[in-house]
Amino acid sequence: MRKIIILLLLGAPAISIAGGFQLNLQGLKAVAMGGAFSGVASDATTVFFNPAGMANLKGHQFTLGINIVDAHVSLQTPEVANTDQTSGKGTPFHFYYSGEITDKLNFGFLVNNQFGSAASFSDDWQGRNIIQNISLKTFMFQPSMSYKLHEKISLGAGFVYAKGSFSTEKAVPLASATTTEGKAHLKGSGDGVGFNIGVYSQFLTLGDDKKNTKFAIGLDYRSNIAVDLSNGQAQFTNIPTSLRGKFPESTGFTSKITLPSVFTAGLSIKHTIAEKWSLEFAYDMNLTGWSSYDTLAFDFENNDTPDSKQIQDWDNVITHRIGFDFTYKNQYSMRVGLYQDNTPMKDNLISPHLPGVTQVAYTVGLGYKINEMISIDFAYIRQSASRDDASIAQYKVEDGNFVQENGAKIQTGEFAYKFNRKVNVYGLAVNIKFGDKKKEESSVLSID
Amino acid sequence: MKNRIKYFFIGIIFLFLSCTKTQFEDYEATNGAVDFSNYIAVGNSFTQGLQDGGLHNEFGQQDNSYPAIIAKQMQTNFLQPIVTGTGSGYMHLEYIDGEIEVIKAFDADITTNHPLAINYDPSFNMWVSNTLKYNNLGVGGMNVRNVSSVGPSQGSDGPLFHVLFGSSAPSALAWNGVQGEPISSFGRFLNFGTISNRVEYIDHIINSNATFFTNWLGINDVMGWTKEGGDDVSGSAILTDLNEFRVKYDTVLNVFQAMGAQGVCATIHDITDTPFFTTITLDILGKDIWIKEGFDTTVVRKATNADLILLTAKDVLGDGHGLLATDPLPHTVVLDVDEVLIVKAYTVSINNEIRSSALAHGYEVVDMFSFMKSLNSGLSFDGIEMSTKYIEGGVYSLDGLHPNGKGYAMIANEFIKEINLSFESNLRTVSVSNYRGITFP
Repeated sequence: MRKIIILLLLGAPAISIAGGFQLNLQGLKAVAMGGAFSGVASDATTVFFNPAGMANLKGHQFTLGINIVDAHVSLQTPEVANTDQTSGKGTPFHFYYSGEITDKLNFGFLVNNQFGSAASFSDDWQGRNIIQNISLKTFMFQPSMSYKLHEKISLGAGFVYAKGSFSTEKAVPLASATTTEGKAHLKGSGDGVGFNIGVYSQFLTLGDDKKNTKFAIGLDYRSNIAVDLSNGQAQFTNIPTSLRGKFPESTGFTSKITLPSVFTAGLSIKHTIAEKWSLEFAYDMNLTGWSSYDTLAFDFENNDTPDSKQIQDWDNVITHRIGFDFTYKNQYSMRVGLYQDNTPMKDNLISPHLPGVTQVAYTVGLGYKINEMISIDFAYIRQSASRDDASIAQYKVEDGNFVQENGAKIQTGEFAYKFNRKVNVYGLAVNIKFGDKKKEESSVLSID
Repeated sequence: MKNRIKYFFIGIIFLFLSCTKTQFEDYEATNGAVDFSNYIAVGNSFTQGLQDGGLHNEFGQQDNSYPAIIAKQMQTNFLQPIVTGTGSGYMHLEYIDGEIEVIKAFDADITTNHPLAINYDPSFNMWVSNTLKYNNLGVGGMNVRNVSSVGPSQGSDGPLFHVLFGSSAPSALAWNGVQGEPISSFGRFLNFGTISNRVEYIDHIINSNATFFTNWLGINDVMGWTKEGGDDVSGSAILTDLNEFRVKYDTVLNVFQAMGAQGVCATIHDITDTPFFTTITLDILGKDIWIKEGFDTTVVRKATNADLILLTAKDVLGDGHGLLATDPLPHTVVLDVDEVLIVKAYTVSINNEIRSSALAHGYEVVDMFSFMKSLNSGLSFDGIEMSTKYIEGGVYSLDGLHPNGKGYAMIANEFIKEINLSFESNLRTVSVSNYRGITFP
């Protein structure tokens, strides 16, 4: 338990690097291969990507990884030539364990940050009435089991417990004789549950022990998770005295953030020439159910505080991921990949703190096996995107309430901007493996 | 192999660290085909920067008049006659017994002033030097008919429309404009001479030597009459005769044309859309209201939704008037349905005159009529949704007729966009959210 607490401290919120606020940084071999892994399942990260894949893992395997997300985002409006996001670096991390209980049964566990987003702008930036800063952190805990149904088919399932915390700040356009505008600061945390189930099948092997080609498929479904923010605290500062009844210094609020489901279908083909090299190709298709993120509503305890409801109305998106791994002498690996990242946000409902653009991102990575027990992975993602027709209208004031109208209405008002966005993600992971009896025997042999 | 991997690794990091620049280049303001060095703004209270029923500058209201905003974007000097202290006096909000109350400006002519009413500042008697050459020639109450005292409707009758009426300032402070008539106190920063040796408003335009101008005259030619409930008998305000309007509007543009100035004109908005006319409705009152139709009629009838009850009816209604046929609302606080039609038709007519006069002189026109119409259904600026609703709409000041700081910033942006279109300049529009709206207690 103590360990887990320490790990929690490590995971600072990351700048969202994928469509919406999904962080696809859950395993570094996967990251390096464009994020495709559900048909690969070659290390403990499969607890996340496809728990059924644990059935292939021998002995006890651990993976501990961390990413540094270094995002550079600049916006331009007709009025202001340049505004930089001032967000710091994000450090999402992951920890996985997979252990063989019997030949057919594996137990696994994970802690990771699957969703997150952080963005902030200087206090006086032009869009401060839309968003000043925002941070969403999630931590997932997932005990899992896999069962080898058949030589070629295994099943896996995990129970997911998610803890989420959310905070946001924006300006309130109300002035008094001594203030120019107020500020709303909302923060809350909560939890939710979900599940992760998968099927894995290495359905075809061509060739022999010396030279072979293996084909595998994986299917995985991670359910959506409704995180209830039941104890939210809202603080309003710099509010004119006469409006304190509406915007008190402090009031509670409730809200709910629904993290989307992700369905993945994956394929891998691995060609191996024993003792020399192997080449692996992987493809994953994700269907992310962002349509569950339809509104972001805040219901305030204080009756006079206008409840806020933002229509998000996101779309489900499909992401294609392709990657290659070339491993030399079972020790040095070089990986490349790419993915097409589609935005779930409708054009007229995008927000300056999230990408809101369809882009292709490129990934590379290295793996190095220090010995039979320890290996390390390095991964790097490069994203570069820009858009010159973005616009947004987050709120409408109606009878003094902050509300957001439907999409059609929003286009009459606008906050038009262009943006440039360059993101570098660096990831480092350590894999530890022991207790594989068969392997230990064979490695003893190979030393001869 | 190990070394190669290391170099590969290091190489990649350097390659990508070196290209994380996302910043956009700074804007460079260019003037295009026009000289902004001596920008002159002509107009009325809207141009002068009047808010909350008065000229005041305690939060930079006058400093951020729409022409001052435009001039700042042009990076040109722009001299305005700035008031000090409480200026001309103005309306403000107070928080009394848990309610937000609108407190009217102090009025020396009545005895029922609210104890917190804000009076004009003694300095307003002197205000500023009237010998300096100001860039902002906006004068509260200025009609197109007032730009010169000689015009078609005066004939040989002499100076009927020198400078002018519509003042809320203490009349004792008036000085020699036209004998017996108070000059608008808002025009005191200009020297209008004496009755026998007049200096006309148009003379100030002629003397300005403008290289560039904006002209948003015309609002008062409608507003004076309209805000008094369509009264052209007991008050001073008439709807300016269309022919006279055109002749004098042409005069202004002739003058600018003769000095080779570039510039833009603007149409006037539909005043009946502003909160002064739209705030007190029968729905809100929730009862039958009796009104007297006009000064020259004895018709008393129940108000319908097509009659506009003015913001100035608040006190009369508060005193319990207007509930009986025998005690109708006076016609000066109601713009009845016929008067509404007259105003709307007249607004269209003078906008046609503005367009055709500008066209004839080769000047472009800012379509302020359409822009301000679009505010009726709400528009978002920097993520703040704003509308023409009184106080909470965020566009208009407490008087319900004049914009507040945010509203004037929007207007400046409309001018700037048209200037850029006309002259291939690229003046930047301003962030509306950076300007002050209503000041709450």
